[in-house]
Amino acid sequence: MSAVDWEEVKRLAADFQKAQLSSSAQKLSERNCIIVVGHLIHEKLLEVISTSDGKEYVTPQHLSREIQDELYASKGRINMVELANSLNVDLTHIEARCAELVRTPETGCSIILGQLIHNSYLKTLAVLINETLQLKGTLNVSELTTQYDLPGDFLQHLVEKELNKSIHGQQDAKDPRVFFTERFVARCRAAIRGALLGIQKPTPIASILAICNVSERLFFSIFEGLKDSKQIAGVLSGKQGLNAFFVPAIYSKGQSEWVNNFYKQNGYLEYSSLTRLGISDAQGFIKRNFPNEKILYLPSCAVGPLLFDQVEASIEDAVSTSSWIDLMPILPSVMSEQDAAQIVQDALRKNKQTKAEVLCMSMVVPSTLISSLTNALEPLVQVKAQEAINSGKFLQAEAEQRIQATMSKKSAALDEDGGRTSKQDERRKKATGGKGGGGTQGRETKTKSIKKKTYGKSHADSDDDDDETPAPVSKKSGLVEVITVKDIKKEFVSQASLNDCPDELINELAARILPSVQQQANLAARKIAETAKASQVQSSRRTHGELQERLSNLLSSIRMFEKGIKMFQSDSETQKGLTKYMLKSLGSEIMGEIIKYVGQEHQISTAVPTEASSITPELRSKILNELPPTLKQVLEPVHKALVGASLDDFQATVEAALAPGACDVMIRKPDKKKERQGLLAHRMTLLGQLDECSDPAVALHLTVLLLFQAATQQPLHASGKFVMPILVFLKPSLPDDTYNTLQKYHDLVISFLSTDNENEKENVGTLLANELATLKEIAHTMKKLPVSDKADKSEL
Amino acid sequence: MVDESTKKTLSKIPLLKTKAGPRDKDLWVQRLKEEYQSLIQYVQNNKSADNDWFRLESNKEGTKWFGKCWHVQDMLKYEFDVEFDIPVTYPTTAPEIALPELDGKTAKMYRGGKICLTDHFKPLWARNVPKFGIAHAMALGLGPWLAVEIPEMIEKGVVKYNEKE
Repeated sequence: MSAVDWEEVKRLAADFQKAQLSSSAQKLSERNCIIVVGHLIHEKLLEVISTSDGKEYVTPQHLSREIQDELYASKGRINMVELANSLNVDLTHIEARCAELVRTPETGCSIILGQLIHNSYLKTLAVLINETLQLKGTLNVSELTTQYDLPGDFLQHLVEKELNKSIHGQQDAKDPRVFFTERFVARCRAAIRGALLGIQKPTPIASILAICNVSERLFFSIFEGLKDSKQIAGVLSGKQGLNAFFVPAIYSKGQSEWVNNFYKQNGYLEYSSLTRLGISDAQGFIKRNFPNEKILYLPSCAVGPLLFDQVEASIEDAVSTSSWIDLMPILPSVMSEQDAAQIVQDALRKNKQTKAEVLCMSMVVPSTLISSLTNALEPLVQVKAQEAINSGKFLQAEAEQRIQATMSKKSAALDEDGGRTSKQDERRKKATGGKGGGGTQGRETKTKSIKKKTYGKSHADSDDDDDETPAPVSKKSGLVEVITVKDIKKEFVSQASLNDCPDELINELAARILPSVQQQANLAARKIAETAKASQVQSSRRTHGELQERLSNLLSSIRMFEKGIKMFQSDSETQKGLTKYMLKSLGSEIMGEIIKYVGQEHQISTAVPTEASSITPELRSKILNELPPTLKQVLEPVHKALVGASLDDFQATVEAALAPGACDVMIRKPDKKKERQGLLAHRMTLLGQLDECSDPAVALHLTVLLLFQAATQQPLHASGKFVMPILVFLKPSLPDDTYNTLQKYHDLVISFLSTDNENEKENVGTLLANELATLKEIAHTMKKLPVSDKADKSEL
Repeated sequence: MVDESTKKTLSKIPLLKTKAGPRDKDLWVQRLKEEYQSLIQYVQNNKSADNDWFRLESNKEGTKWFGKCWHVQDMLKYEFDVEFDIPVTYPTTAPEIALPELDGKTAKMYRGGKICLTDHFKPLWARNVPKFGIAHAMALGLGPWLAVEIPEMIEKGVVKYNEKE
């Protein structure tokens, strides 16, 4: 066994040696090999190309061979990037080799867009292109470009080169990129001809093209050809290109025929109906179609002379018969009101017709009719003017106008103008515009006028439909609204010449006439107002004069009687009583007169009695309270003085009240001559009264007064209860028998008045009646008494 | 540490199984066979990697080994004789490889031209008894030593290239 083992060991040792020796054959490591080859290439001893994975080397010749093989395998066209991938060689080497291949003409290769292409491919391509061309009839190089992914120029060149060799067709003269076959052109022409012949109405080119499936460019060239050879009838209208319209001749013929017929029949043409026929520029079309007609172009239609003449004739007719006419029924119903207005205006202008006016757009109203209507309104105007005056509206409105006009100057005018008339005006202004009687009314009118102001501004230029808000004053004309549109309309309805007249026309007419009528009405109203004012001023002047007269008389008699009262110096009791009486009687009368006058002047609400004497103190104070403060201030003292007992006070206050600032009454200065006349007149009146008197008491009273005057040469104003004191006063200056007679008579009167017994009263009455004659005798005869001297002296 | 390439080479050398020294008669034969097989494989490996660097042969008993080893540098092949004995305690004790030519020329050498192995060699060997054999000793011991020491000695001019016929 061990022998065997040793053998084996020997064998192994031998093997080991063999292994060491034999297998020490040369081996080049890969790295070294790469270095070696690189070195060789670098030294240009070896020409090889390494594959992109670096595992293999290829000689350029082999690479060229391989490229050509690949090219053949892929039917003559291969991308160089693809080559680089499939041959596992860097792209730069492929490109270099391909460039080499292209350079040698025998290979028949070319590079396009990084693709290697062989001539055989071009041949097949030409065949393919020809096939498509024959199939489609037309082809575009740009389509081919996308289809074959080759540059347009190259394909263009190719097709041009192969044209009439392997590609059978023709090039478009206008677009070299388009090719087509004769058959295709013929087919298109036939289709277009058919379409165009079949079209009856204007059709956009785009839709024709869509139906015929023909390109736009070809269509136009074919269209021109067809048109030149007169195979189709019609024109292209509108813009060039696809938006153009093909208008068949039959259509335009029909159109113009329709237009002509319509125009001949109706004498007008409506734009909208032309537009419906497909005529966009209706006016232009009409102008072209009727170059010789005189056509009037209105906003919505064109009108021929026929219709125009008709309008003219009807207007003339209306003018000559002076009746209104509405032209709308004459005109075709399609015409709008604007059209009517324009045609009417044109007609009027053409005939230089100024005697008519156009209202409501289409209605013609002759001015004769208008003036006749205005005349017809005359009575109404008068009535309305009177009404306005009566209601005071006119004056109020006018005053307001004036106030507004003189708003700025008002205060100045008041200051410098103290005259009588301006005073009156001012007072009236105060009364109407201020706090006087119609306070609320005044304010209302004011606000109204403000409203009117804004309204007037915005509508200043449109003077129709002014009847919306009637206001008392219309700013723009400065007229007072005396008469309203409504009034005029009411009047019109009853007018025969406006029978069957539509409301609008009446409205417009009324509005049209209103200004002039308003003016008339204003004039009339003003006239009435002026006459009324004049009469009023006259009467007021008269009353003023009367007042002056009466007051003067009263004052002078007061003065007169004052002297008489002063005679009773000795009897102060009587004197006081007499004074009081006089104030109560005559003073009250003066006051009453003043109050009455002032009350009338200021139109106070409290009813002022016409009789001055019937004004009671209560009524007086009531009226005083209603007077303006200035007047009240001066009249208040007079009122107070009446209750007092001083004549001097009274006179002073009265004078103040009558001064120019207040009641403005001139009082004559006391005059001796007048006084005497007054005395005489007083005596005469007393005598007259006495003569007529049959009542013994009154007779006694009058006699005593007469005697007093005779005795003292001074009149006396006294009541019956002062008879006794006066008698006592007169006693010294009277003859005793006279005195006794009077005394006796006085007693009788007393007993007559105080007794209740009927019989006794009758007795005394007869006695008194008997004595009355004696009494009268005494009164008449006693003209001058010796006492008078005394009295004169005492006066002096 | 053993460097990466050495490790790789080492892993490709077949491991041994029999633990026997020259005194063990039959078992030694067995061991010797394994040694040869291992060496053959190692040499073949080297050849295939174009890394052949030694020639070895032994006496009949396989206790004494001798041959040549070489180092190529700058296109010159420096060749040295190599010899070693299988110690009696083999495989527990590693063989001491000697390059008698270079005795006294470098510090990394014991008396009689025995190379100084690295610190790693001995523990590594000890760990792998009986799996490591002569081939491992060559790959792990002499190979790295040559790679480090010869260029140094050439640089120092201790070793000179002598043209062979």
